Amino acid sequence: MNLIYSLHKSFELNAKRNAFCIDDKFYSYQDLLDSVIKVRKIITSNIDVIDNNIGLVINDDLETYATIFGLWMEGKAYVPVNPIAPKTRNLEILNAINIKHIFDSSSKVEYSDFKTHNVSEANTNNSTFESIKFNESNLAYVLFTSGSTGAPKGIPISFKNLNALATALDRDEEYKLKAADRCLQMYDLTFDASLTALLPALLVGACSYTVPSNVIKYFHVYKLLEKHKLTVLKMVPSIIYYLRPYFSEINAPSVRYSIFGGEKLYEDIVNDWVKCVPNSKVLNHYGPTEFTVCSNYYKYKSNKKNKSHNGVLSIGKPFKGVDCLILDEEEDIASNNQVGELCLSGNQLTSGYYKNESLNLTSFFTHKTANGISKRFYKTGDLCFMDDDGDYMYVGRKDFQVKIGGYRVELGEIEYHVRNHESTKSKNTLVIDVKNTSDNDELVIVVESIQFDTKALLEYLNTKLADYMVPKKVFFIDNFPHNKNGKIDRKALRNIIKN
Amino acid sequence: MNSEEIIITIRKSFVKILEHDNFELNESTTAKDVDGWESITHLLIMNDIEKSFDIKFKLMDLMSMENIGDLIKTIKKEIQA
Repeated sequence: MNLIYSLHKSFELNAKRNAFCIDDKFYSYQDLLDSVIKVRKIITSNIDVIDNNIGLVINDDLETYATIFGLWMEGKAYVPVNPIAPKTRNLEILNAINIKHIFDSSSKVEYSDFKTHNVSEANTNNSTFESIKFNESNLAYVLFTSGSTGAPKGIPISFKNLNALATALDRDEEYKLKAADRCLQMYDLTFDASLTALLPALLVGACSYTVPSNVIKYFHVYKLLEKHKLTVLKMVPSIIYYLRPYFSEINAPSVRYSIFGGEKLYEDIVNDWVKCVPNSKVLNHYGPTEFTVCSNYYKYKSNKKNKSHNGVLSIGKPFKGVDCLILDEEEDIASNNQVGELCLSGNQLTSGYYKNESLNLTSFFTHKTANGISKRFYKTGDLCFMDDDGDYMYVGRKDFQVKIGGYRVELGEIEYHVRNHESTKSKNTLVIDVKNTSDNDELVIVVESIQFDTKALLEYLNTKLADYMVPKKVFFIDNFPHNKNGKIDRKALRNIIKN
Repeated sequence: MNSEEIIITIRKSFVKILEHDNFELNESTTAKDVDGWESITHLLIMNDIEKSFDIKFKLMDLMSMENIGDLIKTIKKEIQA
């Protein structure tokens, strides 16, 4: 599939249908197309052909969405920055990639050092749709994620990568949207999971219902679900973790698909969630940004035994055309059921981190596959194993594997048992390694709760885990620190515990 | 229980969860007026208020609260229920 041409075809074919519902206002595909034409006019009138990477301040409005497609149809990439992120970090990103032009629909110009363009102010009457400029090797977007060195690292994704993703999703018989679908778009556009929420909907002429950034997301998701009887929900699992105490009030038979992605998905919560969405298929998507959003997924089976490890639902099988490898500690291919680092190869794989040769040398490698072809692989940093059926199980992050007294300890395993104890079952918990005063790693259970007696919990863990795996301390916190994608910020948490 | 008495009790939950008392609470106060009152702390504050009054909020009520005045109304409704 060529995504850009298919999107344009869908915009024209579905011109009268609604494309977006933003802040309770509907916009048709014609409105979207008109806005895309404006964006393209601004580009051709103001931006040099050689300026390929364009900044985009992501607001919750039609102009911001139209800018993505306008840039793509002009063969350019968007580099999203979040207006609520610290400006210094945004400037670091924009300068790292030599951005000259920024599209910003905000009423106040924040980035005056750059040439800024506001689509709503453009005067482009009577413009027609010009032919699409497409080159597979051009970049479609560059996303920045936090790097271990503190500086954000840029992940460039080309149209070839994006087309491979669109093709994989298109071929997937389990996940077929239709024009009448009403789809949730809750992701911030700096998070690539936004694309697997948006693109399938736009390709069939369905309507996407957006969640603004300044609201309580889990409430807003429920509000949209109730008001508009949404049919497709792509969400981070934390949405249902927050809604869990209120599941008994949720009854959404309209939902056809619940797709999760971005975090570990716990099987026990899904078992409860499916009662709220009795007609829904549940898919667990997995994939790193470096591999264009999604490489694997698992289809949850209602009323049957599902595959999970330490309570975390399987990430299933790779898409067709995706090669998965598990490397053991010696970097040899692991056997079935042996835990190692998941490595991915295929057309969705990024060309490498932006101007970061040292990281590229350690993150990517070439490997000869079974049929003798050399392929480039990416080390995901995720520990997984493949079972005898070819399904992959997520074990944890490689950097969450710590050594305690020389023993390798997987934090996810301890977390699993913590989550199973009566005193912590209904609470948010995690296990973290913290350097103690003698500079040794020490395990700490962190519980999002007011303080309670933990004697019974620790005694229970002693019956389930080897003694070196049982945390010696329990830390209570009112709320976990989260990063802007809603994931728990372990680094910040470690600092809070240390202090 | 009148609105003033309810405010005194809910203020305790806000101070406990947010770990500061640098805010005013009156019927027109919204999340914007109180540092740290955001999506994650909101549920914690509401859970603490539920315990103080021995009530359970409904999801719909929690969502439609725009300000402290709405919260007080909901608490009164739940106490009487």
